[in-house]
This record gives sequence, structure tokens and C-alpha cells, in this order.
Amino acid sequence: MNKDSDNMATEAMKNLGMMEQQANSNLGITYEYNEENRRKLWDSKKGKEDYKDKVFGDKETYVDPISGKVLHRSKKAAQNKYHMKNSEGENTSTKWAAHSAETDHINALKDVHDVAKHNPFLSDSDFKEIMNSDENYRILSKKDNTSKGEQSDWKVITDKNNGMSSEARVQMAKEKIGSDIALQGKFAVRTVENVGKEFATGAKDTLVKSAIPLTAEAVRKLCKVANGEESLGDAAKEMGKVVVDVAVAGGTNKLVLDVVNSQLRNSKNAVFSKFANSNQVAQIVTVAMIVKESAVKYINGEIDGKEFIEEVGVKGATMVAGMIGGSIGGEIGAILGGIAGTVALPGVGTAAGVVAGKVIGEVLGTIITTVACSAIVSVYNTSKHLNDYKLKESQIRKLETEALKEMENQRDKFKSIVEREHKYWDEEIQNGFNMILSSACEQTFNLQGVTDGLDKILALFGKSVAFKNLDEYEAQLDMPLKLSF
Amino acid sequence: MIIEALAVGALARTFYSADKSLKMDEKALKKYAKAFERSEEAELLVRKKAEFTDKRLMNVAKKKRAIVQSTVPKFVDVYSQIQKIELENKTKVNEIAIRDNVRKLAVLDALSVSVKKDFTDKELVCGLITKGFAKMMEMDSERYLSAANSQMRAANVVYSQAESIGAVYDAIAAHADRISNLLMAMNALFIRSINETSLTIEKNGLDVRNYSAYDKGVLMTCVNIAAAMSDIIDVPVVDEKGQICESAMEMIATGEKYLEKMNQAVKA
Repeated sequence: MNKDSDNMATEAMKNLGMMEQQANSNLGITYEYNEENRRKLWDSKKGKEDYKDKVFGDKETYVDPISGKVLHRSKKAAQNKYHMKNSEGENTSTKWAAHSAETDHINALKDVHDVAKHNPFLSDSDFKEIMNSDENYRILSKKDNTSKGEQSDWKVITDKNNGMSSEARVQMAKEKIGSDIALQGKFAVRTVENVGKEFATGAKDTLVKSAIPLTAEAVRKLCKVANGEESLGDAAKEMGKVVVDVAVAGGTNKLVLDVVNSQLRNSKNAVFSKFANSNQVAQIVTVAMIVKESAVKYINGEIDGKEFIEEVGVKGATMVAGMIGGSIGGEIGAILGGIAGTVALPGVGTAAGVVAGKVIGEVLGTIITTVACSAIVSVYNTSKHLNDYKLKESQIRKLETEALKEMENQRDKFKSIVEREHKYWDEEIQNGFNMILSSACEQTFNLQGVTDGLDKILALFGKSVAFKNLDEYEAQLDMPLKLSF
Repeated sequence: MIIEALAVGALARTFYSADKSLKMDEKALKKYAKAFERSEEAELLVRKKAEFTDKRLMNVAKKKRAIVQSTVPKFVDVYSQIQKIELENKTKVNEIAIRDNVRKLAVLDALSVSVKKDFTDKELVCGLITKGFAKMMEMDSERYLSAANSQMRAANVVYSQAESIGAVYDAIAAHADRISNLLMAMNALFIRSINETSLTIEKNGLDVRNYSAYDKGVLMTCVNIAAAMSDIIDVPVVDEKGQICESAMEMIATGEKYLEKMNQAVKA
């Protein structure tokens, strides 16, 4: 990481610290996850019981849509019905566990805690309240709940060997997505509410100073990779140090990350696995993912700045502000501030929020624009070349067509030459032999005919007979006859 | 709501793309298998033609050897009665040399393997920004399929070159058979002429100058056939300066040029 980004990150962390000190002392989720904290701070026995009562209503049984089994509200009833004990009072069967209802968190406390603990605008009680909302509960059998254990829903859904039916997988996926959306919405609203309260207590500068560098850093890293100045691996390591997932990169990104990544985490596709195996990398990319379509529309002039912001949503817009330029920074900021202000002080706080938001937007625009605007050109140039393989394939196709045609032509030409040569050869040999045989009979012996016939055959090899006539033959009779074999 | 809608849309799109990508990967694998099968067929075609041509060349060599070892001594035995013969031994007919000579002419160049290029980090990030996860997954598979298609096209060119080489081998084998047939026919003529010469010498004695023109003609013909046999045995099956060979070289060179171009394009 270079000096600037080091400073930026350090500054961000300091500002976060300052903010925590100046603001509501209850904010900030207890960082350490253990059994005691879980029980005391975040789990809710009452919430689970209330939910169970709500689901069962005035009935004692409930059909589990995932397992399709009948579940009993009362553990004792299930144990009696499925004969847990024999007549001597000994435990002999565990079948009851598949029919005893329990309330389960769809999104496990630990999984969400891993992400939410970085959000400085949430408290333990916020976390408890949201995590124990009805949207994050479901009824499972004790057996299924135990066997699922710490596994995430996506792991269970995508595990081909767990014997789960397709319908059950679909049901579980629906519950998971529904819960994700609901929780993210709740966390986002609560964050904005708490941020609004922080504005009210005069901490707006701190927010600007902390959130902007972190957001800027995420975009800056993305641009560096897009420009080919850094590898994803390096960017990921450095982003890990900067803790990009504070505030703005927290909730919404995680939702997109979950739905896109979870299903494909086990995919063998090279593109996906390269990203899915690194949360930091995924965070960087998510910054771009949230805004990409709207950014393209904005660049193409299909939507104006306001529509762009409406499309992308507050958080996505904040992140990409710099990619579009400082001119709409204020617009983004006004909306961001407006929402925060409205939540904090309905009717009155909006104006103040807009002012604060404008500060955010303008600073954000200025900071990110410096690194992002040049990069966007590079992004589009590089993207254009992503289809180069098609060009290559088309060149190879053209070359193949040309090669096959030309090679076939040459082959035809060659075959025709061979045919012609062989025909000539056959005719000359035949004629030569005909001459020899017709002249060689004793009665009609014609020495010249025999010699000419032989000469005709030898002519095929560029040779001629040793003696053309008797004079030549007789002239050498006193000399040795030289032959080589 | 926009983000939620995006999320659900992204999930559906991702499922669709994963499926599409998987199908393309399967198709690419099949295509690669077919391409390698085609290359294998090309090599087999050349190997079979080469083996067949080897046999035909060996046949020529056998005929030459039989003439040198059986008919020529008969001639020497008969004709040396009337004229001294200086017999020079040529380098032995080397069948392997003949074969190697032919094989130099027709060799099937190796096929380059078309490998899918993985996205660079830069391409990945830029692609994700402009096209998204799902599309990039599809593109990755499209690249794989494209590489497989290129492999198939390269294999087609290799097969075409194998056909050209096969045509050369066919021509050589056909020519070898013609030389074999000629040698057999000439050998029959030679034997008959040697027998006729033997009878003539037996009838007229050893002073050829006292022979009739007809009898001198019989002897002259026998010597001419002997010299012709020497010349024919000397002639290579493949005449490097002949029109067939020149045309074959041109055809093979054209194929090699295209194969080289194809290999470069595939590796690029």
C-alpha cells in the first residue's frame, strides 16, 4: 500500500475511534463472539418461544415445509408419542427428535456478527432485536436443527449428499433470501437512524472523514486493478488492512455478495472461484457490481444524475460518486443527507441533513474522481478486448477455410500431375515393349526396332541404349565390357 | 427495494448463467475430444500410408536384389566367353535409405494445443464492472468453447495435410509398383536374351566378328539389355528433380505453411 492510502486508512481508523468516543457510547457491537456473549447479549429465548407460539397458534402440531414432517409444539408430547422410554423408564428411541419443534435462526448469529461487528452505528441491542425478528426465525425439528449445526443455509442447500429433496431446497432458499433481504433492510434502516442521531449530536464531520476515505480506498483499489497496476491478490490484502467493510461497505454489499456468491461458492468455474475465495476481493468487486448498470446508463445519457442515484440506492451511489464525477457529488450527498436528516428529525432535520449530505457528496466526488475518472476509460477499453477471443476464433475460422481450400486445390493439382505422369509412363513402357516384342521374332527380326524399343523405355529415366548399332557394338569388342550392378 | 430486486435478479441470473456455462463447458470438452480424435485419425492415416508404401518400396528392393543376385551372374557366365566383363559393385541397395528418403518428404507436423486463456485480474475487474459476474462466467466458458472450436479447426487442417501426405505416399507406392513391374518384365526379357545369346555362342563359336548380322544383333541386344538393367536398377524410386516430386514438395510446403500459420494463431 502506498503512503497516501496508508495515511488514508490510518486517518479513517482514527476518525472511527473519535466518532465512537464522541457519539452514543452504546454504539458498537461487542467484538468478541463466544457462548456467554451470545447468551447474554444477542440470543433471545423469549423471542424464540414467542415465535413458536405464533406459528403453532392454538394447535399442538405443525407440518414442517422443509422436512414435510409433523412437528409437536411440546417436546414431551413428541417423546411420548414416539416412545422415547420403554415400560421400565429407559431411553430406547430418538425418533421423537425428528418431531419435536425448535425455533432456529435462519441467518446464524455468528455469521451475521462477523459482518455487523464492523458497523460502528449499531449496538448490541440493535443486533439482538434484528437478529431475533420473525423474519430471521423458522421452525425446525430438533433433529434437523442439531444436524444443521453451524452450517450455513447455502451449504445445506447446495450439499448434494444430504438427502434433501428439491422442494425442501427451494423452500430453504426462499426462506434464506427472504430473511437476507429483511435483515439487510432492518440493518440499513437502523444504521441510517443511528447515523442520523450522530449527526444530531454534531458528529457529521467525523462521518465524512471516516466513511469517505474508506469508500474512496475501495474504489481506488478497484481502479488500480482495472488499470493493471495491481493484482487482485495485492489489492485484497491491502483492503483487508483498511477494513473496508466499515459502515458503507457493510450491509447492502453483503446481501449482494451472499446471493451471488453463496450458490456458486462451490462452483468449479475459474472466474467465480477466483473471487469467491477472497472476501476482500469480493468486497472490492461488489462496489462495482452495485452500480455498474446504472453507471453505464448514466454515461450513455439514458438517465440523469438524479435517476442514477434513485436506481442505485444510497449506498451504491455513495460508492460510485467519484466514477461519475464531482458534479453529481452534491446531488448524491443531498439525498443521502436528506434521508439521514428525515430519519433523525422528521420534518425539521431534512434541511440540515441535506447540508451535511452535500458536504459528503462533494468531498466524496472530489476524492474519488481523481482516481476513478481516468480508470473508467481503462475499464471500458479493457472490457472491449474481452471479446478478442471471438476475433481470434473468426481469424482461425477464416484461415481454416482458406487452408482447406488451397490444400485441396494443391492436392487435386498434384493428383492430376501424378495421373498424367503415370499415364505417360505406362504408354511409353507399353510402346517400348511392343516395339521390342514385335521386332524380336526370329522370322522378322529387326535389330533397330528392338534397340529403339529399349531406348524408348530408357528415355523415361533420361538414359539411352549402350549401342545404337552393330558398328558401335563391334568397335568395343576388344575392350572389356564395363557394367555396374 | 432496488438493491433487493437486484439481489434476487442476480441470483436468478446466476443460476441461469451457471447452467449455461456448464453446458458450454460440456460442449467444449466434447469438441476437444473430437478434435484430438481427428488429429489421431490424421496421424493414423499417414502411418498406414507410410507402412503400405514401405512394403511397396521393399518389393522394389527385393526385385532389384533378385536380378543382381540371380540373373546378372547368368549373363556374366554366358557373355564373358566372348568378351571380358568388368563388373563394378554398386553400393548395396539400402532399403532403409530409400524409406528414410521418402519419409523426409512427407512428415506430419505436430498440432499445437489451443488452450483457453484465463482472464487476467485486470480483465476480471473491468469485465465485472461492465458485464457482471454471471456474464463473466458465461464468457469464461465461451472462451473455453472458442478454444475447443479452434482446436477442431486446427485438427481439420492437420487432417487435410495428412490427406496430402497420403496422396504423396499413394503416388510413391504407385510409382514403386510400376518400377517393380518394369523390373520383372525386363528381367524376363533379359533371361530370354541370355538364353538366346548362350545358344548363339554355342552355335557360332567365340569370334563374334565371324557371326551373321542377326547373331551379332542377338548379342548386341543382350548387352544393351544388361546395360539397361544396370541403369534401371540405379534409378531412385523418388526422383527429386521429377515433376511429381516437385509438385509434391510444393503441396506439402503449402500445407506446412498453413499448419504453421494455424499453430501460431492457436497459440496467440
